[in-house]
Amino acid sequence: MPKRLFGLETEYAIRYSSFGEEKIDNRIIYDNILRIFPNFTKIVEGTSVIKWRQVFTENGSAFCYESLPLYLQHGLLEAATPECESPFQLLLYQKAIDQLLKKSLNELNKSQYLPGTVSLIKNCKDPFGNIYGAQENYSVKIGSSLSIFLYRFFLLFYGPILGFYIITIFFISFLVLFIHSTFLIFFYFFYIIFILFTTRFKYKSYDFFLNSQHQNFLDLFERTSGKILTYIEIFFSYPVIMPFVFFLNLVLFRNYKKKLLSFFISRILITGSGTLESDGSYCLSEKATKTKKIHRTSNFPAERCFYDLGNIMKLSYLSILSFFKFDFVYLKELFKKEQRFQIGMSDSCMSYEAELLKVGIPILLFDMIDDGFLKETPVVDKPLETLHKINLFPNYKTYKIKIRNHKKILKKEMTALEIQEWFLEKAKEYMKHKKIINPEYSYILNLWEEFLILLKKEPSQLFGRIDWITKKILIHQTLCKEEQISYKDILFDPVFFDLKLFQRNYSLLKVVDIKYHDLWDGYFLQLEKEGLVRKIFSDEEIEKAIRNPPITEKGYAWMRSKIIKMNHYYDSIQISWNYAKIGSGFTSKIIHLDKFKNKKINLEN
Amino acid sequence: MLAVKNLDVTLKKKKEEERQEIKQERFIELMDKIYFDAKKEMKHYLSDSEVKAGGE
Repeated sequence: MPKRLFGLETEYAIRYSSFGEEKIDNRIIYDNILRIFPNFTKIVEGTSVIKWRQVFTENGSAFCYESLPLYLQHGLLEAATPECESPFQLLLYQKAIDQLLKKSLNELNKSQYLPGTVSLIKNCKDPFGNIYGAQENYSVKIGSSLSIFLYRFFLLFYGPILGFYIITIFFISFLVLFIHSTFLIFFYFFYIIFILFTTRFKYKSYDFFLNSQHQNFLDLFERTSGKILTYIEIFFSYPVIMPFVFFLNLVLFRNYKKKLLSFFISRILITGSGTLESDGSYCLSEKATKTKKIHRTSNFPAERCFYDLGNIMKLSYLSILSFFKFDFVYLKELFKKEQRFQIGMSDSCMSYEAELLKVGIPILLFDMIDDGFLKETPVVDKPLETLHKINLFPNYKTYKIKIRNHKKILKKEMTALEIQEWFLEKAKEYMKHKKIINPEYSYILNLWEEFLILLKKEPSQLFGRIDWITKKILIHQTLCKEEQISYKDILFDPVFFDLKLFQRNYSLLKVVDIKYHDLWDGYFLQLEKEGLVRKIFSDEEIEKAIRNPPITEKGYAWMRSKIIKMNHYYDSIQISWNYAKIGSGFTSKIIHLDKFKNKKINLEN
Repeated sequence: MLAVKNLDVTLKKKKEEERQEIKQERFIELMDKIYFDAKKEMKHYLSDSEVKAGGE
């Protein structure tokens, strides 16, 4: 089987319990968490200019602060695994990231450096419906030779237009920011004067700023004016970005996207992390309900698309920006035959086995497509509508999805479970036909089969193995305790279909929903501690992975790690995914990690 | 020989049942803990968990 690289990006919500004290900016909390990292692993600052203080750790992982321009103080902690070559390796490094964060939280909360308690929540949806979370990245071939030619030709043709746009947008953004800030300053000034006059100077100066009613109004005003400015930005960027994105969607990863859409839609019954809605209903996936598009159509973060192009777009911007500095690393990367195929419709899994299947099955399916084995797959009619329907419990078992063939002719109806079974059978045939003996893939296929059988016959047996089931059982148990009700079947008892019961106890049950993902004292961690969760790696293996990179043939994680480990030899080292910058100013030296790999440059001399 | 094998299977089955019982007991205890913790957290937990910067 060919080696391909893949990785996970996970956003963790930063939660701060202030116990009545003043709230703290999330950037300060993020910096404090990072301050603890050197107690457990070596770190080096990232070279990225886009993100707020990015760091790389000894095992090749990266951490950064992610926020929207209008909510800088409310950002998230984003972690990316090093590039891995096997699903087990990837799972191990994802768990190593979780473990490093857990240890840092313990230390930070023990140190009492901050007056409140900090925790990180590894989920995709907050109690108010805001979406963030995980993203999967697979390095795959763009497509056929024609697609590669068209892609490269388009980049050459469109590059100068994009370059001109980026320079223009810099000036426009500067102008818009200037107008926005000036407007806000004037608005605040007149608003304060107006309130002080109408209340006959009842407020002392600081009282006014502490008044939550005024704070909320100002917050609302800031948000609304920010939204208007975003629409102005959309207006300016759409004419340039739209054709770019449209063309990328047309040529990139066409085969994978088309053939695997039905698989990705139906896999939520394994990979979904579950969410309780305010109307009392329960959904399998946190992200599915909010997924609005199959493809990305702009460069705005709130796109909520199934297949993402964020990486290619970032790479394009970086190529243009670094082009003016005569640095062609990113440009070279952009023209490669293999690019990152990004899946945005991905939940953050707490369960080991669900996470393993989440990344393991797609890799096998990519290989099957590359080998020409998956010629025709079920094509879902109205994919987004279908996704939303099967997401609602218990539709995964009963809802009949309309399936068309590739000539768009309506063929039959299948449930989400049946679609998964179809792909499983094909994968088994492929392994048999190709006579592939790979213990990892055999394990994944067996696990996949076991999950599908249990989902059909006895889903509650998947407690501690699939997140949406584990969480649903915890929610049902909490509801039974609160309402003092008895049941016969913990998942399908008629009592659990009374949505009013869930609505009535929504706040209590939603705490169970969100705290399940908490990395400080969350319920999944408690289940794990009590041995109620099926684990794949021992604590020792995870600990070891915090300090050691994955050994891969293609990736740069090992070289990155070596440079990080040698950090003490130099005054200043900055590192990125592709290169390291040693020293500062005019004397700085750039080392490209691919060259370092091939020529075995000795950094110590 | 068959009797020894049968005994072995019975013992394994018994051990598995015991393990399941222990797990069940642990789960019941933990569920009590989770329930009281969630009750305690109801006031602040959700409002403290708001993520305004939802974007990826």
